[in-house]
Amino acid sequence: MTDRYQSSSATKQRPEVGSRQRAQRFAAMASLTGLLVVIGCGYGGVPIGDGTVTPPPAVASEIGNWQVQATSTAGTSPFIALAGWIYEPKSTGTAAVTTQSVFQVTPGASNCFVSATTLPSQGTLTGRALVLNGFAVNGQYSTINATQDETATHFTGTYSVRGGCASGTAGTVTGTRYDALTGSYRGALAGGQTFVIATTQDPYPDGTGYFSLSGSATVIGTGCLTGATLDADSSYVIGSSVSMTLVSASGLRLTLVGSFTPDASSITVTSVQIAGACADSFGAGMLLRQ
Amino acid sequence: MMQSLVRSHSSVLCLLLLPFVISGCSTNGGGSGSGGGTGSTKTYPDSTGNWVVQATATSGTAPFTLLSGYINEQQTGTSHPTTGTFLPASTGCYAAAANVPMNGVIQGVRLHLVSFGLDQQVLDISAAKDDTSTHFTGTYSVTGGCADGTAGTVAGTRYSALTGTYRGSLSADPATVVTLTLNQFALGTGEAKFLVSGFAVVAGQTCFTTGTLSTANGSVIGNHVQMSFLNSNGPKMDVTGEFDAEATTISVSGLLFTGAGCPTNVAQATLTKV
Repeated sequence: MTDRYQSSSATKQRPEVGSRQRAQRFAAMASLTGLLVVIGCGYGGVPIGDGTVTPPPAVASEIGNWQVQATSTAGTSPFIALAGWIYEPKSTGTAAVTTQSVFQVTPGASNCFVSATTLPSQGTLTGRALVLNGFAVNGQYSTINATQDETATHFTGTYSVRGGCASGTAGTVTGTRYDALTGSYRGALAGGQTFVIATTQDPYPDGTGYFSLSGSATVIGTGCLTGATLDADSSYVIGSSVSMTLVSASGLRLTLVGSFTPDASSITVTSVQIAGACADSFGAGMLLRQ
Repeated sequence: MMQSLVRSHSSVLCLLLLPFVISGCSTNGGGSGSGGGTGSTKTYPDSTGNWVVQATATSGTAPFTLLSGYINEQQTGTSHPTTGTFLPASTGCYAAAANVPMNGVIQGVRLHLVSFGLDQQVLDISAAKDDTSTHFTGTYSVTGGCADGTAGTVAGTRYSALTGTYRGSLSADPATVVTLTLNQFALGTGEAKFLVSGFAVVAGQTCFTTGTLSTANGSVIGNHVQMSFLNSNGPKMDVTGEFDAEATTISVSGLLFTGAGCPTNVAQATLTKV
């Protein structure tokens, strides 16, 4: 890169030209040098050959909420799943771009990530090739190399960990992007309770991978809680998981836990609990987007 | 005239951009590198550790007043890839941020970290550390989102590990003496905290005499420590407090025993490293 810069600035070897041409060459040189600084200095910069830069075809952005399943192939499994946020700070969709992520780790059999479940990473997306280099987590550096599909809604690849407790472990990963859980959802639980929940997912998570939910709900059949709002501080999605805390005007709190489909068309409810004076719990159910 | 002007500008442009081409390219993708090298072969101690960063706004409403967390400097090459994860103290634009991951570089004494976008807010810290790598001073700025355009100064202090034996009596009950043997992990996690394990011995209480602190129940972030010691018979002792940069004293702001026959009031204490 330095050699290329120096050759472009070796004005002594250039034939004499007119002042306008020099001005144009100056401008071209400045542009090329700027490209070297802007593009070449990035993570995994794009090589520049004879000055002709051919951008790769545009690819879809993978920004969003992801659920990643991990399968160990070497060593004791450090994690079985990752869930959270993948983000491009300056999304261009055309060249190698910086990519960031923050995942919550579901620890595997090794327990190496127990109590240390937040995994920030930074890397690149070059075409469909995704590389995420994890920050040190108790001295463990995790790397994901994967290839995403054309729609940037799935990727497959490998992971490896160096350093710390899980050093030397490796495996495969499959990632799925989940649409925002935004809309009106209605459905019933096994006990006959009916829920209508209007929710909006925050497009930006909190730095640990969780996306906040806000909204309101109407509940029929619980006995003491009918209308409620979602407590944004304790209602969230991460990966495929969802947890909502509904708070009534009188302060009753109902917690609904479940999972949802990648297209966010339905929520499978696994448990519902009401705390406080009206304590109760309800069984499973399903809510469908209206 | 034009010719000399062009030549002059060419030279100036090259000189201006050369340091970025040479040194900026060796950064870890954190953005704009920390500027030119110092030209010195002097090496500095590793900055990896637990930091408290005081922030003072000079432009706009303060987005946060404090950042506490983990800086990890990787000793590779001359420009060290560096990451940070911080917990912000904020009642403003960063109030909803539970963790601020940052990425950048340390080159010589120069520290430059750029955060992930949190609600579109990107925090940039540029600072210079001292020879011992225990303090740094510099500036911050935020672009994008709620705190867009705010800026200020930062002063960072590295905190020693909370490792050792700490002893003291309860402020309101001198007969109760608490002795904690603690071991803080040297390396932090992805959400700013350092895990702590340990053991507690309490004299002067019948409901709780000993307890174990597992890493699942003990952590340090910046100068703040939170621990929950469990006794195998059921009682527990929760301890929260702050400690000094040398980790010689823990000022316990909340100590609560839970279990049959335990006092129900929240106690305070000062524990000193022995």
